[in-house]
Amino acid sequence: MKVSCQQELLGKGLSIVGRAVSTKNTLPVLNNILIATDNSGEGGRLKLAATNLEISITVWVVAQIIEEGEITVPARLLTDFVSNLASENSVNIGLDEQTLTLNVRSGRSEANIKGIAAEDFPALPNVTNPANSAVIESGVLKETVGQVSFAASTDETRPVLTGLFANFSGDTVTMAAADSFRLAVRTSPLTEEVSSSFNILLPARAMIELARILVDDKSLVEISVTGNKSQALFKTDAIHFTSSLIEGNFPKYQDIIPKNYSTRTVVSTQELVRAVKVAGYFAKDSGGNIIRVSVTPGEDLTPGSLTLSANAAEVGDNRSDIDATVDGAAAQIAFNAKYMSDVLGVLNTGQVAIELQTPANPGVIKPVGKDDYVHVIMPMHLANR
Amino acid sequence: MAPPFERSIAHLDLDAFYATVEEVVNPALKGQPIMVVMGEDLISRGVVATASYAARRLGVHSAMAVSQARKLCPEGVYLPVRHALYEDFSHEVMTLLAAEMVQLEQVSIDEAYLDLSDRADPTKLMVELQDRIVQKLGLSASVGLATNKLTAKMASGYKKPAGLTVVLPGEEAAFLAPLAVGKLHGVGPKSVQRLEQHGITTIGELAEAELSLLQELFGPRLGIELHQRASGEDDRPIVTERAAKSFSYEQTYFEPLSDRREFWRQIREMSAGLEARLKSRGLLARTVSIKLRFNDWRTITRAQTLLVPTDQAVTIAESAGELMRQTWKRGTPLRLLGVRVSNFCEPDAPRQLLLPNHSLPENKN
Repeated sequence: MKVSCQQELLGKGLSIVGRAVSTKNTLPVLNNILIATDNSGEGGRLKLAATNLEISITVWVVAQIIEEGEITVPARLLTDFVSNLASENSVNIGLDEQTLTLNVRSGRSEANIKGIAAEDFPALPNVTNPANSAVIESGVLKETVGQVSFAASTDETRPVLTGLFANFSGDTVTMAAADSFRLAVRTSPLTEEVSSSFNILLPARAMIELARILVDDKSLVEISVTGNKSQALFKTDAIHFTSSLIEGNFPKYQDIIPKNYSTRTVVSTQELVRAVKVAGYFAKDSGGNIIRVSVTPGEDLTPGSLTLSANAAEVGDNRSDIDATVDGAAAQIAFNAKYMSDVLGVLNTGQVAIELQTPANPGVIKPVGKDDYVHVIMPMHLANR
Repeated sequence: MAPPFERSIAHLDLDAFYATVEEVVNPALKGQPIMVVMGEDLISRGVVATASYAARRLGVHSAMAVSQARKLCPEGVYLPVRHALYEDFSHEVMTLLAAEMVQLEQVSIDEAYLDLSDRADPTKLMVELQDRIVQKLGLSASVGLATNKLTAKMASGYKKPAGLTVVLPGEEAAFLAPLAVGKLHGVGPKSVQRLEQHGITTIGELAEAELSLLQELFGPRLGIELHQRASGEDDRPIVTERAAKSFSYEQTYFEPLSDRREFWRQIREMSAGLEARLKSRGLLARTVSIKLRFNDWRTITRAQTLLVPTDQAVTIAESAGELMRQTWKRGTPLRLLGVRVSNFCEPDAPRQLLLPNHSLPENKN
């Protein structure tokens, strides 16, 4: 193998596939990145791939191929070396097939890295003849995953709740995630109608990695799913990302979303974010991370208000008032501060609406002016209020 | 009376507790060999939790397989454990002790430490308490009195049943010296073997051993600790009930056990006992853990935090069962199985409500 490519492209490619390298795997070859020449497309490309057996990432980097070949080398070492090379120089890569040693040269730096034969690298999942497929803009998918994935559970004892449920139907995809305390649902446009509707359950952890890699633009991502629903492939021009899918049935979340409310409060997102942040400092030591929320409707000349308060017996207390447009009766409820700040962190409209019923019913948070997102949070029960 | 800087600690241990409670609630059994058995199967697979003194004279002891006990004592009375009943009696005993207004630490269902440092005559008080426990509850207790917990506990086991053993200040090391080294807290069978290889069989020999040897055998910290313990030194304070951090049950198996259904039965029984204990204190537990000891004495614990704090046996058992599924490979023999609840909160503490999706129908993928 003899290849030459730009430091910047190689460095970027390595950092992307590095997301799929397992850190604690007992199989040494899984700590490696597969490097292979690829003449299949127009011009020469260098293929980089890594997998942790749950996800796999393949990236193609434009390169000049002088001699073909393939090898796997430790991801960490190669990435650290390449990222410290000067970006104006090209990187020359050579392989000693006898000793399985990769020679990397750039400017006045050189490294020899011992590898493991490419045959020992696990076959990457292949999604040929997909049973279902869909196309979505990269930026839209990135935002959609970001708005729901944080609500997924990390508790492996109920695997379905560690997943992102995705329903592809017509020209939209709806993604939902829920641990046992909150639910996030986002509906986004596909660029073309799907030929038939389908559901999949994607590991949230894998989707968070995908969202990190995706660029925030209008380039297209093609999603394909194998017939047995074991793998999904996310394909962009230069990246293939596959993830294994979770088996099992996601709870029927539609029934959890309250259909009506007794109080609807609209406030400035920015002001609410700040008030939650401040209350959070006090809630942290309250035993339960509790923020109390109190809504007061306006009267003829005074505007309505939303009051957030938190108190920790040993630390002190805090209270913030925000102007609010209130539709309905006064209301009180208590939420975990983290759940409030998590959802507020992913909303990007100027105003948000909070819809409440009783202190024991789920609260709903929605962006104002967009009807593509719903977030449901279960309150804290305060026996001694 | 001890000088003011000496502590006076009593350890009280109820004699053959489960079996004696069974005698009290059914006086017709009095004096007979009674085996209280963990596990519903009283015929073969269960394990003896407690044997009455009449049974012990025939060679039966706790942690023995029922099949073995049946051979030694075919005519004996075999009863299933009733944790909730024993918890009631235990609660009565502890209430009686607490009435003395001393620092009290309940260490298990049938054991407690009392700090009697400010009492004029600790011995007289303990004799009175022993009497009162017999009069009011029909139970007998053995007591050890010493300047620290370690020696007091060793003293209470010195003369049983209904014994009272006092170790005077300064006499701790001399009292412990002739006892077998395996009786010392923290010295398991593996350690006994290792110590024997170096000619150490009694606690006295352990106390006289070179510290460097013990540190080499057990590591720097445990080496020092064992040396101190063997010399009868122990400054652990009494931890009162309010500060208790966990409740647990453990069952040891003299014959290693590997029967899955038997383990499940025992988990349910221990969970019932934990429910009774939580309810009597008005507490909920957030964390459930299990403890397993394998044939090679390797001991592991695994814990799970519940979504909702509980005082329900069913929930505790389910969680412990789930932990078993994750950690225990079917067929692996165990020498000990324990269930523990911890991370307590009061029932009126704020709690996070759950989405109602646990009972909802599911989307088809």
